[in-house]
Amino acid sequence: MRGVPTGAATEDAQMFKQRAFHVAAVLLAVVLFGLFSSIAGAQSPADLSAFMGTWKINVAKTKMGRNGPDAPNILRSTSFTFKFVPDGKGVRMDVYADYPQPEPTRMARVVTGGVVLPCESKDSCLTAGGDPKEQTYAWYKIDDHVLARLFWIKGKPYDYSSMCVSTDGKTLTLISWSPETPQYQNIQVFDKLP
Amino acid sequence: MSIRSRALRAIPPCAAVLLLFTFAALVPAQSANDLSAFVGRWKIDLSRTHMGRGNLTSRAATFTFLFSKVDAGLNMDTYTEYPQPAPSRSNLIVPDGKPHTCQTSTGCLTVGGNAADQSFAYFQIDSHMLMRVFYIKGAVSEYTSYAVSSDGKTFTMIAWGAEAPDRENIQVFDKQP
Repeated sequence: MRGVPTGAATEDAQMFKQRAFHVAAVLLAVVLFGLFSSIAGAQSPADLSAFMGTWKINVAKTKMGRNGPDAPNILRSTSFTFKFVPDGKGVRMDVYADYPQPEPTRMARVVTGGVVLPCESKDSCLTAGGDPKEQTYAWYKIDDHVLARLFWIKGKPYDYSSMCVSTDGKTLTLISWSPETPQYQNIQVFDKLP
Repeated sequence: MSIRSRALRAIPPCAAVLLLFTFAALVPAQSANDLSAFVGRWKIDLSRTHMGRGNLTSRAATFTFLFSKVDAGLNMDTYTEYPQPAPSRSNLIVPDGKPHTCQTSTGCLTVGGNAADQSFAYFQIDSHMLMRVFYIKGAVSEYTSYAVSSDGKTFTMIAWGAEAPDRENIQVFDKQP
């Protein structure tokens, strides 16, 4: 049986309600601060402007050695192409195994700050293939001309890469390696297309 | 149940959800400052090293890095030949992405230069990868990636100039006991 609240008890309850409301307000402020800090940490397209555009592979300058000297390495088409394009409030990297094609072979959203992103490509986010549902990646902005990317399969690191645009904006170099063998790399060089 | 009890029961789940949401948004992909994979002595493997950048043609066969843990991150001693009584130069690696001035009087680069003009910033990608941006008079002069293999036995440093990222110095090091 519940007792009838006394005047002191009612006052106590009201005070507690006020305190609970205060705590909730503080927590909400913390959440909003965190959310907006996180959003602010993501890059706007302008911050990645050096990367924007169409980049065609330069086969003569490209060296595919990630799997080591005794294993087969990926061969690229001479028209292998990256396109960095605006995507809503962010940037998207479209990959064309051959260019031009009606649709990109795969795509990756470019959101920097170490945010882990799911693979949204239908087939795979890797040239080597695999189940896109097991693939995630994160981008890290080093400065306006350099990005780093960490790629995971089933949450385990699968690939590290750096991506750098030269100061004159004409060359993009992508260096990638396996966690097991950073001494072997794919060094892919791209020329900016008009 | 009193109002106090009901309120007490209601607040913790809400707080937990809100805090979880906040920290999920803020926590990066991996824990910061776990740099233990780098700690130790690394001797160059000239047979796997390729200096393609054009600014530096060779290293001594005993060129060595010695990484040790410090509160702020790592101390990186460079020995152009090993052993020597003292390191040729030392850099403090603070992986905070902020420029730090060169503290070595003879300069923080193999090619020398005026230490007062030199600064650098380190970025931690995860426990096995760092990146460094090197500045001379505030302008980017060099980018470098530092990577330790997952088995902890090999360290690879790739450096390139801001003007020509397609030409790299790729230096491979073996962990010493």
